[in-house]
Amino acid sequence: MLEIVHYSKSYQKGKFVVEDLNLKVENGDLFAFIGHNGAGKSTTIKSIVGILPFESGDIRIDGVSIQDDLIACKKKIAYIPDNPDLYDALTGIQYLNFIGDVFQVKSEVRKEKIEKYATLFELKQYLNNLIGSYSHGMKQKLAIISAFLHSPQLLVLDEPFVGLDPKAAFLVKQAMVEFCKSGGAIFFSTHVLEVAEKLCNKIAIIKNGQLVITGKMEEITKDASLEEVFMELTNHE
Amino acid sequence: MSSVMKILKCYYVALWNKIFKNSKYRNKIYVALLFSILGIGAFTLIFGMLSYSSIITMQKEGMPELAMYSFSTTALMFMLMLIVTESTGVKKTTDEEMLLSLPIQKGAIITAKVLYYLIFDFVVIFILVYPAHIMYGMIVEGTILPFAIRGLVLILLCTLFGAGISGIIAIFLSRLTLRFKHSGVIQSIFGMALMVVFVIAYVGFSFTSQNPTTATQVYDFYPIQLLSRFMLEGSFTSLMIMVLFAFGAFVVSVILKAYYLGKQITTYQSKNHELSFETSTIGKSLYKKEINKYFSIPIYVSNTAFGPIFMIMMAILITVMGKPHFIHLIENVLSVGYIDGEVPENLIKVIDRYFNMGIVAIMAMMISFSPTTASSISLEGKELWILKAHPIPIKDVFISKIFVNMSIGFVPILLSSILLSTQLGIVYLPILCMVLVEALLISSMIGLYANLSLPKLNWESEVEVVKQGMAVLLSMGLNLVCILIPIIIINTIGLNSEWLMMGILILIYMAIGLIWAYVLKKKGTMLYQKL
Repeated sequence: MLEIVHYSKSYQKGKFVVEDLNLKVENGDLFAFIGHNGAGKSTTIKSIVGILPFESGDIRIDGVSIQDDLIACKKKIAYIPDNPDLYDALTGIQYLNFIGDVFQVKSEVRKEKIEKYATLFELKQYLNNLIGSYSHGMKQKLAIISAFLHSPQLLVLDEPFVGLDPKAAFLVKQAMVEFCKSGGAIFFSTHVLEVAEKLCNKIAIIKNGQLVITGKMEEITKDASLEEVFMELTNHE
Repeated sequence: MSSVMKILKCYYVALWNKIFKNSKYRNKIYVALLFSILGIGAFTLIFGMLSYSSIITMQKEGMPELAMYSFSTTALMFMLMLIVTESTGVKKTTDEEMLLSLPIQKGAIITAKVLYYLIFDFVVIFILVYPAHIMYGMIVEGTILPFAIRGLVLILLCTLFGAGISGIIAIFLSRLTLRFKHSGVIQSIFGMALMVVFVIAYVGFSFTSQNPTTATQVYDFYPIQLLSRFMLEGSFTSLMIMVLFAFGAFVVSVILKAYYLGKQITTYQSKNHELSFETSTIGKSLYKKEINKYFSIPIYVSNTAFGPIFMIMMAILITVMGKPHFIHLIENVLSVGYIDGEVPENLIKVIDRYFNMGIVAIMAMMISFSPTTASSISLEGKELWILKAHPIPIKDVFISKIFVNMSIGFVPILLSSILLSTQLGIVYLPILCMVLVEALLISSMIGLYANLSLPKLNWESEVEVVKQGMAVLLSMGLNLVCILIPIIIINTIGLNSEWLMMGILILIYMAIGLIWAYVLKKKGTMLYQKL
């Protein structure tokens, strides 16, 4: 579903933030992308979803290179940033309709999806209010609802649990598992290693822009905890 | 160092870094700065020359103090403009919570914020009025120092008063409208209404003061008397009254702003739980989003609606006065610039001959002065990821932003063209429409390109983008070059037929428009991808 091949990104000439990254996420995978602050997680994610251009390598969504057909690739993705800054001047429902229009989601489909997820996340009664009046968690929930609106094949999430209340975090985790069971793939970054260990079947650890390890969760952790593995791998210079 | 000074220092260091330590956009920032320095220089020169002529003329008439009354009128007008552009509601700034968490008094935070923005307004009034004060002292009284000091005090107090009054209006407007869903739209409409009042006042004051028989009505106006008396006599009473008003307004606005600082601004809660699932095309949806954004940021509206509003008011003025009277009025205004008070015969002939072309040029400049596109990318700010991460073609993003500027300018163009064609001749209607729509389109594209070249996505308040954005300066400079230069060239060539001149202008604008469309398609797309 997602293939990252020899991906490199630099903000200044010669100074790579991420260098020669290779990753593969298949359908049904719940893939955690882990690393310390400034390791290059968000940069990689922003390149996958087409926000940041990159210097070398390739990123393919369902076999299509984002360099060749970015719009087609974006149609298969849903992205939720770590800090969802949404249009404050729109109401929740106006924003969801905007995203629905962008993905050309039919009226009856968007009605069904919005009602389902807005009820699940207890946001339905606030959808006619301006986003500017929402709390951080409410914005995060709205971004999550918008992500499910067009039935994407790949979900790309940057720290999806930040700002969510315990119930919402639980519901998001449940929705993620269900999404992968139905054949979708999820690639997400997180600092909460317990969640990654419990939820994911695959993992990649990045340090200073370079891939340290990637593979199946049980093969990497073996008898140790993910936290121990992470500390050991990232503490070695 | 006081808390106010510490915050101010931090703001100015950040501003300095943004301008001079921004390696990515350094060259473009320098171009924008060059444009602004040239613009400031040109304005200073023009106002300086007008002031000089005014002083000489009035001195010859034996009433040099009338020149000072005229300068006071200018200062008052710019102070009113400051009030108009900054009275439109209170917006939360991004550093507000961080500052509130620090051991700093709310009053200090507000004072620092107001003073930071006040410097820019101070500079504007300083450039336009201060040279006149110095020249008056030099020419009439033979001494500079008292006028230099009084001028500085007067400009400072005017700026303080303007900031204070606009702050008080903004707070009340915010509190009155916060229960409404479209509070931003209401504030924007209020801002536009204020602007119309300002334009009427400005035109009224300007023309009344140019006519010797009615000038005294303006100069009898108490605020103008107050400013002039202080400047001419150094009247201590006048100074005290000015200080009282300026500091009073400023302190009240700081107290009010500090009281409401950190309190939730948006309180609108919908009672309607019925949801609408209306579908639209991507283009239409983007356009709706852009228009919604435009009207929800009152300072954006008040700073970009000036051109169209001025244009309509001017068209109304010409229509009401009639072309011959308006030409006569121009001659009267120009006569101030001649020591003998007589406009040369040749110049009168030139005015008669090029009047229609001149009106077209002024209208084109007005409509293209401040396109909404010049700050539309920057105003996306941290929300830009929505446009970039979703399958939205870049072309559609550009078109939606250009369309907003076109829709805001289109009705004023149509209205002004209809009004002016009653004076210039009905055949001018399609020509005026065509030239002005072309100018509007060119300025929309230039604004967008300028903003793509000099984006500012991290800002504390929209004011930084809309009023002080480098892209806005770059756009003004480029618009001046692309809209005015063709008109100057055509006039310089001196073609006999006005129709031929208009035709050539339409063709030149068309070519310029095509060039900018190409630049946006190629370079603009590349710049957008790099954002």
